[in-house]
Amino acid sequence: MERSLNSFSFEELSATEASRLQHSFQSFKNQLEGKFWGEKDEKSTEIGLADQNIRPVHPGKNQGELKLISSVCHGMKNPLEQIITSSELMAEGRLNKQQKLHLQTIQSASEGLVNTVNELLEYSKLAAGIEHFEEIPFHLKKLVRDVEYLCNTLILDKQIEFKVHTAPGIPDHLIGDPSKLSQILLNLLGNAIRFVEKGSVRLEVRMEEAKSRHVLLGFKVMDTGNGIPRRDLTSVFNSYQQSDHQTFEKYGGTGLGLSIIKKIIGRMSGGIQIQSEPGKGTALSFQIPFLMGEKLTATNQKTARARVDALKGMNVLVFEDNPLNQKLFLQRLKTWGCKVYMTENVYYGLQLLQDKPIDLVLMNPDINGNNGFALINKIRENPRKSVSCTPIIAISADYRNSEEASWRDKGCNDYIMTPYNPEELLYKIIQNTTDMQRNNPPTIAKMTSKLEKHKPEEVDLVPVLEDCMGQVSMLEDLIILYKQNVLEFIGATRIHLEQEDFEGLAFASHKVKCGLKMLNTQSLTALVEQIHTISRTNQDLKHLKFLHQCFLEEYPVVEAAIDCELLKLKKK
Amino acid sequence: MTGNGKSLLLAEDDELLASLLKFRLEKAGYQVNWACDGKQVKEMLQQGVPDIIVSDIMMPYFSGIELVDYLRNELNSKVPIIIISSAGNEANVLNAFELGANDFISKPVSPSELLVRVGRELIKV
Repeated sequence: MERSLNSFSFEELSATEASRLQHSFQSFKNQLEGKFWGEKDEKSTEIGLADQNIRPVHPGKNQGELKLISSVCHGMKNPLEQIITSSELMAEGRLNKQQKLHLQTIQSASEGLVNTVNELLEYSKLAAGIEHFEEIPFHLKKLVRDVEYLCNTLILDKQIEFKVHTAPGIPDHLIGDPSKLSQILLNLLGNAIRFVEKGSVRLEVRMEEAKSRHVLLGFKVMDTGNGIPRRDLTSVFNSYQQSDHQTFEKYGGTGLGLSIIKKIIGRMSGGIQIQSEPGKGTALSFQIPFLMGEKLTATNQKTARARVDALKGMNVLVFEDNPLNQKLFLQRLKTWGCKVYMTENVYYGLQLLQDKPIDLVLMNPDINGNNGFALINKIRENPRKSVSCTPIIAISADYRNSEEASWRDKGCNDYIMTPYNPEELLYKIIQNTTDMQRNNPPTIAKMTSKLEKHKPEEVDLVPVLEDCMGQVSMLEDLIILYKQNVLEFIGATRIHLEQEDFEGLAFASHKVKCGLKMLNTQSLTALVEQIHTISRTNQDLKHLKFLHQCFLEEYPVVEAAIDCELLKLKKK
Repeated sequence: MTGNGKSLLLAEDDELLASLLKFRLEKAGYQVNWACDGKQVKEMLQQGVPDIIVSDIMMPYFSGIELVDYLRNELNSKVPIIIISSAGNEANVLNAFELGANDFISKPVSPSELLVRVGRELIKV
């Protein structure tokens, strides 16, 4: 390819040269893909049931690449999460028309990005053969109903007809992976709905074959969209294959959408076919075999609509220190009718668990420098059953812990990875606050670090001395002023608390913050920042008094450390 | 000596920060007058406009914005003004700029950085 590039000039390109160049690029790309993803799947539109078109790549060969993709994707997820969170909060504020439009753009672009990243992650997991497929009982009609409900919310005021038809005679109780099946249906239906301008989208579910313990279910997604040109039909399932603009738009930005679907269906021992006529529409059909299951108890099954009502009046304790995430949690849980207790202080949280009837704990394990797990220990150790059996859901961005087993070993009932969508959280909350969950709290496999009562405070005054250009006498003067500031703060706060003057508290905490930061006294700064936030938001007097008390206990320790450091510097 | 005896008005109500900044500015050769609230600022300005002003965005009896407005519109002064901003006051900083402030520095203030910014403003003049 290099040779052809060297003698390359755009204007002089003849038709044959152009096609030769294109051919070189194509084979280069194929080689790259081959190296990356392993053996390339055969290009076929019709795949029989027995055909396992997925050849899992030799694990050893591609583990390195998988890790790379994984870490890049997760590296993208964090800033994306922040963009999404911030835009959601912005959307709450007062915006003019222009700003609203721009915000919408940001939001849809970030959603698109998240989808792309998730697709890439999923694809890499599938290609490496490590994606987990469940074999659990589920209710088919309910699943289809939930999918239908979600699709209806997608349609909004589009003038298209959406109909779902399930053939009679299909057994309700099946065994398989319901979330993967939902994923496939929502993906295909979602695409169809998004790109059909007028006409209809239809889902048909029927039984293709029935054996003694198995059924082969057939699903057909039909739309009256613009259809796909014949030449693109062959490539629609292949990753990275570019078809014409419309097809590309419809089937996924990275070009991975349908290829992921195809892989998933393949792993479930099924097959997928596509038929399309430009100008008339498209039909995607897939078949998956399922084992027949037994009747399920009704306790865990609630319809999508009833789900939201299920959380009304639930008391939720949230451990989160990021103010942005705190706001978001508050907002979401409140819309679902929950009463929210929010704290980043583990001791206060434990106290709440004793005093209030908490139904659920949502925890960010990274608060207080990863103290979340020690806190979970403390909860599970508690002699009172009402505390130790509280369901705990961890909310984490730490993908290294994406194995469910490790979360349960640490004492969590469940976990959810950020960024997540609200439906996921809702679903997990419902799943984990059942009686069964309450009666079977996870046991901690190995004890994680104990909760530290008092970290020996070390104050680093060297940078401050540098700011004072090495003059210790100046540093001493500053420290005297610092102590004065703190004592003033303690006194003023006591009065403000008695008078329940939240504005005064906010002002006092803001004022002392600057000085605290100057001497790098982080523990005190953290406490004061909490006081500041709470004074300006939910104004929980009890919490504020608690924090004031913490400050009173913490300050003498810090003061001693400062004096100690000063003496050291004086001696030099 | 970077300051060369140039006069500087420091309007800052946080004693701790003000002490450190005054110390460093004086070390760098500036003649520093420190005002810890709006009243003192007005008094000092009546005695004469300094070569440069560094002011906190928020002070008792006076805000940095009011100061900028006063200097540019009432006193018609072109004296360079650097605003010290704090978290949550970003909108006010923009206002200050619109009224004629020259630069800003956010808390926590690094004395070295402030010295650079002050020096820069005085070179322009």
